[in-house]
Amino acid sequence: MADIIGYILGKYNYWMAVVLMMIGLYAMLAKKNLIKKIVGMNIFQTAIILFYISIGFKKGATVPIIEHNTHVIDVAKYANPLPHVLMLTAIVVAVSTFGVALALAVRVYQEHGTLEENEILSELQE
Amino acid sequence: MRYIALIVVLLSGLVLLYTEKDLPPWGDPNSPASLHVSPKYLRDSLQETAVPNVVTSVLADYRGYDTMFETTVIFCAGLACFVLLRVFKVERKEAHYRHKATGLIIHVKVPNLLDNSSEFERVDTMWVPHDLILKTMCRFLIPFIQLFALYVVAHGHHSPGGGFQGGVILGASIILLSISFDLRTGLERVNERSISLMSATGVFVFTGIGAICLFLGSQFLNYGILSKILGVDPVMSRSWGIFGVEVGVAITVMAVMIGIYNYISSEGKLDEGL
Amino acid sequence: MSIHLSVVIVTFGLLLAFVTYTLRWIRISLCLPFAITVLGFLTSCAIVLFTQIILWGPFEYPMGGWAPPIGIAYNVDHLNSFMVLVVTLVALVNIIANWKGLQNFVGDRIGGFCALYILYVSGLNGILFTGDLFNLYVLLEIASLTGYALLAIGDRRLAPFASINYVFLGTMGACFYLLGIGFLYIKTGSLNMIDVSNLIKQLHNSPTIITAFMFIIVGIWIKMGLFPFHIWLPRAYTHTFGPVSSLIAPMGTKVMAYAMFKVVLTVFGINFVFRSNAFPHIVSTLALSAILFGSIFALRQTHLKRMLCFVVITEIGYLVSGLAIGNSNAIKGSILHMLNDVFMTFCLFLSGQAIIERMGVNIDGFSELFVKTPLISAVFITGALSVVGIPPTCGFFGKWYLLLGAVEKGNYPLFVTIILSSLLNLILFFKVIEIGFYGGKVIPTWRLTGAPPWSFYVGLCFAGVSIILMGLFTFHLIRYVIEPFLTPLGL
Repeated sequence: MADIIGYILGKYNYWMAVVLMMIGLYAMLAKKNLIKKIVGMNIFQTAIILFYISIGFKKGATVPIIEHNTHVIDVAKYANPLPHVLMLTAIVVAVSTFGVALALAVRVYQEHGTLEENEILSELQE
Repeated sequence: MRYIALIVVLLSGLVLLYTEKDLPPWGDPNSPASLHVSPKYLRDSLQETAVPNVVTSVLADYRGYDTMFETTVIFCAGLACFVLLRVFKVERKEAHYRHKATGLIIHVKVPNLLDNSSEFERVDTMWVPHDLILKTMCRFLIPFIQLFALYVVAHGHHSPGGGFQGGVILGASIILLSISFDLRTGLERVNERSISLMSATGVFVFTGIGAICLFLGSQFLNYGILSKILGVDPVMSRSWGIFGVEVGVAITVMAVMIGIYNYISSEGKLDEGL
Repeated sequence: MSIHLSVVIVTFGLLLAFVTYTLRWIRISLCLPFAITVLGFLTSCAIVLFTQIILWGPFEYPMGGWAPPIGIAYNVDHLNSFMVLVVTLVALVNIIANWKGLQNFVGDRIGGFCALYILYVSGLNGILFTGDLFNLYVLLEIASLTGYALLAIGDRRLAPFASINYVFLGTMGACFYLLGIGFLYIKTGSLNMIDVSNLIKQLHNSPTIITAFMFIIVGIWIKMGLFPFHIWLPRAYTHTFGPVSSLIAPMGTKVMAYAMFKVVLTVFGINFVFRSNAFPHIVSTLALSAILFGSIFALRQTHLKRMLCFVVITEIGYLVSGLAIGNSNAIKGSILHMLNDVFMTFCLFLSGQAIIERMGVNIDGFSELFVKTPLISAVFITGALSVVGIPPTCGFFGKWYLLLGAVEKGNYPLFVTIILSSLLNLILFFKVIEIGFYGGKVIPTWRLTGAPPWSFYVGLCFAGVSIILMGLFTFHLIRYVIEPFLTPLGL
């Protein structure tokens, strides 16, 4: 029992990220409103970003900014900078995709007058 | 569709959870991710690039090529909004005008009737009165926001910050102007042509610095070779190269943020915003 | 020898795309000629680079002077330099062919359109050259975003909804790929393809690596349009605008197929993939279903472009079936088919666009089309023969190697399926040809009479001739392009 609790608590960052990913994925697939799907897409991407950032954490470590007069750099004292760099890129990509998706949603609304997918599909079939 | 979605989600969730016993525990400093490439970045960043903030040096120097494409991605988003939404000829059917002396709002069905009158000012369809406090406070805050944004860009070397963060804050200051006043005021300050030219200029600066490195004889984005034209040693020229690309990134991000807000809030007409 | 040409092709493409967009605000009539010049410049760089690779062999180009795995590197070899050449050449011919039509349709947005066009081609070139997993993700997003914007320009009523559906599925695919890279990074700490492949040699039993492989491959399959992830493809490519569909349909999915081959063969290795029997069986089933689904559903369509989309889905099935069989001949056949398919799809979509301009989209209304428009229909029939697989057109040779590989491995279901789908495609195109020569049920209405402009003739002739040339030079292709890629991998 104790090691199951230890197993859950020791890696709870992965659990959180997976739960958020699944919420985002469900919203993207199951919801009918376009804006809800776009928000679900953003949640999914944010969950992946959180997952990556949690990889770079080291216990007791600080920001990866090296003081000027440090001679010996103990690598375990600084957080891993590479996931932060990758996720800066991923955040920008997520924001860009969000912007393009919103522009497309505005165009869909201009053409069909609604943002509900089933109404648009029934209108398209006529 | 909901049941298919539920099944897909449960399957993916189970697959992801199946791997968890194999992953290193949270906060482990001896995980493979922290032992392979990252120690080299942490140890050598200060000597090789004279930039204490390791995230900035990795972003703009070691993996600078990725950052260039990331800036291109955000440029593509701005370009896509422009191509998809922009309509150039807008036939305005009605307008709202406010009499400046008395505060009376009139709704006119003849377009452009009172545009040039000095007693009437044009207001948005969704304008609400009692915005004096908001307008005054924003007018005070915006210069300080922009100053902070410039600080964030310039101090990316020594503190968390850099081009992207500073650019977003700069863009946010102009968007605040557009929200608190109206879109036309924001467009008077930064019009559409300058936004488009700035977004292209920023990425051009980044790619241009890389191309200059190429023409001077070294690989693409190898800032060390810039010491030939800057006159400093190669380590400091890397620091200056990083600063140059961060400035380019900030210009593009600012312009694209403002551009996306303008096009989406006005549905491409650039007439009335939020 | 200039190794810098690999970078020049991608980054000067970017630089000049930004200049194109700036030109729009200075003088808009210069945008399209400038874009054509830029693509011509990129094509000539690609030709020079490919010649250099043949003479002096492949190389690795470290960006910023940092050797991998510290920095990002480009791995340029025979196959990807040839594919870059193919991509830039087809993009150039496409924009030359549609010179007159573009200015009429796009109007004021020509500057943005040209910039998006060049950025899309640069994104694809970057995907082909790169040797870093995360760089592939960023370039994939460039190609995707510009693709979403280009696809939404078409039919004012139907294109935005088709494009937003593509946005959701495309982002899901890219995010799955990113998640897969995350798992690989947790276990190895590196992002460079060759470095990761060395590091995971000891980790073959780890569930994380297996999950990483599954997510990466599913992400690439969603972007590629493999059944059952193909849902976005028919709608997105049908409702878009002619020049855009003849740019994106040939290249978008094939470059993703190249990414699939690179990741599966270089990063994971054929031994990892075929360790258990699950992978070949699942991929066989998916490839089989894709081929059959594409062929059968294509028969039901009356809209010409939608029918061509299902033909594209069938072709993707062929590409994946090579991976499912897994031996040297089959993978050779798949890669050869991927190269040939760019030209085949380009030919079909370009001539299809001309046919639709003249007679509308309904296949039943194509009476006397082939009699009245001989050149367009000749090119369309060449493309059709290539899809069916009749020598000396190029489509035959890819299928030949696939069938050879299937027989060697004993994978008879795929063998039968490939032959069956060729027959189904034959029925499909002969239906169109019959209506075109002998008349159909619907009385034809001519929308546009007269010959296409001279620039369109250039495009049509290139499309038709290239199919025959690719077929005639098959053995040279295999010897100089495909075998140098496969031999270091042990295939």
